[in-house]
Amino acid sequence: MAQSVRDDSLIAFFTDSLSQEADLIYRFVFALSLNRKDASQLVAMTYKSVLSDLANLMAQGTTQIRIRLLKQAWAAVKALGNSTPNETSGFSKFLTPLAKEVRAALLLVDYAGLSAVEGADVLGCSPELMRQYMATGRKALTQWA
Amino acid sequence: MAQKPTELTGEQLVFAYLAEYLDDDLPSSIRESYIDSLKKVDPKETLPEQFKDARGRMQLALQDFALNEQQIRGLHVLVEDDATRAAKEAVESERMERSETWGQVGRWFGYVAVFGLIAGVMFWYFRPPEKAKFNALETLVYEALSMEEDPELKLDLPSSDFKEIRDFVANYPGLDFAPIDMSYPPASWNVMGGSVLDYDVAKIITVQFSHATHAEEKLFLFMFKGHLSQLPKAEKADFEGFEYQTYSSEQINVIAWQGKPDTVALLIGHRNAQDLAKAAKALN
Repeated sequence: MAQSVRDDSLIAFFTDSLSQEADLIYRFVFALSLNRKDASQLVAMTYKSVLSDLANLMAQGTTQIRIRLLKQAWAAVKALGNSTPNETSGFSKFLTPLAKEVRAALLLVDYAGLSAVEGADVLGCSPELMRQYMATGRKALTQWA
Repeated sequence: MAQKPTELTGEQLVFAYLAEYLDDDLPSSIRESYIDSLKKVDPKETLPEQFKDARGRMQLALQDFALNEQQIRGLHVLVEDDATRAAKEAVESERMERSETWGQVGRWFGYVAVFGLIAGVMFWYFRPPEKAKFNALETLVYEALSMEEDPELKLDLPSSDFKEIRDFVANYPGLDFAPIDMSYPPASWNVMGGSVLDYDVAKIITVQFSHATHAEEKLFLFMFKGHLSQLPKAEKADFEGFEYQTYSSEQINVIAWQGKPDTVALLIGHRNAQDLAKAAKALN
């Protein structure tokens, strides 16, 4: 249990505002891990990673907070390494053959509502490469549907 | 990420900018090439709608994945343990309860105030008519008969000048009601003078007239603060639009009307009610 936060306003910010993004982060990391248990762990890792920077986050806007959490989540996915997919839903089957970057691009832009440039910022790639990931993901998506 | 960005192929361009195309938000620098590529990739022009549907399906599918309560609590524990949080929630709950209690008290005060206001308005609206401060009919008939016996006795301002009497009435100081306008003198009647009878409970203006040819016949106009409803119920009548009510006795006849909103006027004489009404209409 990390109990490093003492400031009540930061605690309130964490529990009332930051936690509102938890489901979005969970869906993002699930799409990358295709494993619910790992996804849950990745969410916890994501939130732990921002605990020391809550004061700074609290001063930022909603989109910036979302981008920061997604960046941390992406870093956590990479840190966790390969997960063992254990989901059998149609949606999981659609995602499985796609590269993680392609899944991430699809989720960041067409689910989380980021722009291609913001998505590139999250993945740490160029906007051009981001567009390629998006193109691949969207082509697969239209074929899945 | 070690990949080096490469230029998008025609098909990649189409998919990479599909959302912008749907939102009519394509960058102008690629608009032309995008439309060309779209025609080649999607000659049937079904792709944009197909993508829109697929994106909706994906967003819907993602709704199936959400943290459960325990997982969310696990996140909250990162900053605050359960016991502390429970204690805070208890304090907050108590504060809310107290606030709710005061809110209820306030609401009840509000209800009582509104009810009181409604009751007050209803009482004011439906209240019984205020009782007359004096028995106007009996008293003023007596005054009329008394003045008839001795016309000069109670005249503060004896005058045969109608205008002078009208001014006297209109400008008499300290009245708590507005006298009638006394527009015209009644035909065949001469004014004799005016007085103010100052009873403890009310001031009464009186104007005395005598008949032009039978000077011994008198007519008495009285005005005082009040409302017709304070007089005994009587037969109502109408003379050319002039509404009044009548009282009669063996000795004398009386007509009464509402001269002004707060002013009752009586005309007392030996003529019949219609003649009295005719005279009253001229005065009113």
